[in-house]
Amino acid sequence: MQVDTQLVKGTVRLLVLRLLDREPMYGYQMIAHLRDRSEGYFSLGEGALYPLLHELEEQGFVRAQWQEQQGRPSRRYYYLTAKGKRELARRMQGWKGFTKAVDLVLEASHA
Amino acid sequence: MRDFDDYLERLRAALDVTPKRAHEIYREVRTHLEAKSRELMATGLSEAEAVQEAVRGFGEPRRVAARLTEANDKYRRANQFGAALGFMFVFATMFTAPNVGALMTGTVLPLAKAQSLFQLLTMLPAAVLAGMVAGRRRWWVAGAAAVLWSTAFVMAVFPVFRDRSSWLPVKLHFIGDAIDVIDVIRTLMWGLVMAGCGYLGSRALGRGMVSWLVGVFCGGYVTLIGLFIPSVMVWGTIHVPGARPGPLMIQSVVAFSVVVLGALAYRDRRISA
Repeated sequence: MQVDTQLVKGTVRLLVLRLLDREPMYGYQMIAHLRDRSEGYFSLGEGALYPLLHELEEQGFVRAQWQEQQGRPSRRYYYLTAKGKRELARRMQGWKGFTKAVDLVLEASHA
Repeated sequence: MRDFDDYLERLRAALDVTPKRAHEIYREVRTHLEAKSRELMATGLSEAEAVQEAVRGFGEPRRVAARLTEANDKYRRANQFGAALGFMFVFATMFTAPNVGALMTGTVLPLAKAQSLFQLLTMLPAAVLAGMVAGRRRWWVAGAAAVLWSTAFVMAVFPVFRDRSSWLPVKLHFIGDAIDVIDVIRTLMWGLVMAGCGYLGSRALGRGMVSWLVGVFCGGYVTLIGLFIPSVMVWGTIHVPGARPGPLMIQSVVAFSVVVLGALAYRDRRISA
């Protein structure tokens, strides 16, 4: 299926914030979640996720912390901050407004 | 996991972030690649194939490093401030020097009085050095540009200094004579050219730039700066007995090389994605 890459780019930030709102995650885990829950639609480039996470961290929307794993290398978990929660709420509202407007136009076109 | 090491070293060499941040990124990406290769091996790939596939999936290291650099840099005010510092000092000193007038005296006087001209100029290399230690290439570029600008400015305003030898500051240190502001600036330029040579060496040999630059910087630049700082602190050392005319061509070549090297270094850190 042809995917509008610009639309996907803008959406991934929202999805990452939403994932972290549910539970802290590490990068690899996020990629797997996004891929599995979207049934393969969001197959995010690995080299693209970390810059996004670091950008969110720089902006204060997430914070990161290394966690020791028994018998395995440590993982860097990302947590949503209070500022990140506000950003998520703002983006969710924007997304809902956007999809509602698109639906209205599409339905009107059918009528 | 030799392929991981090669890949990660190339990634780290291309990063333009603080050493601490570079180490964190290195560690995080390594963890990711290891997890990915384990998953691939579980599907039946050999270890070598899995490693190769994991690395390929992560992307070309320079491009990934450029994105990571931008992500870690975009919102950091300290970097912008560091880059601007050189220019701030140049402006502060030049525009409050008694011979030049006092265009900005009202705004910058608390920071830079005319009497502190030399002292403030010595802070230029301090800012550049801080940038180098912090792994901030942009500071170095900004410092180089600031020195170039100030040199042009001083040479235009004080024509008497035009025929001074470029090597004079170095000679003066060894014969124990006094120096003045133009000698300070020229010494800075030579130091920056040395740092530039380190940059070219790093590019030619494909090695990490920061380590090269810091080595060259400490070996050449800092030595010179360290030698003249005590002299600079003695206010009023303007006369340089025995100064002989030097070729203006050398000055031009040095100044031009600073511009070229600065541009190369800046281009190197830009995002290509």
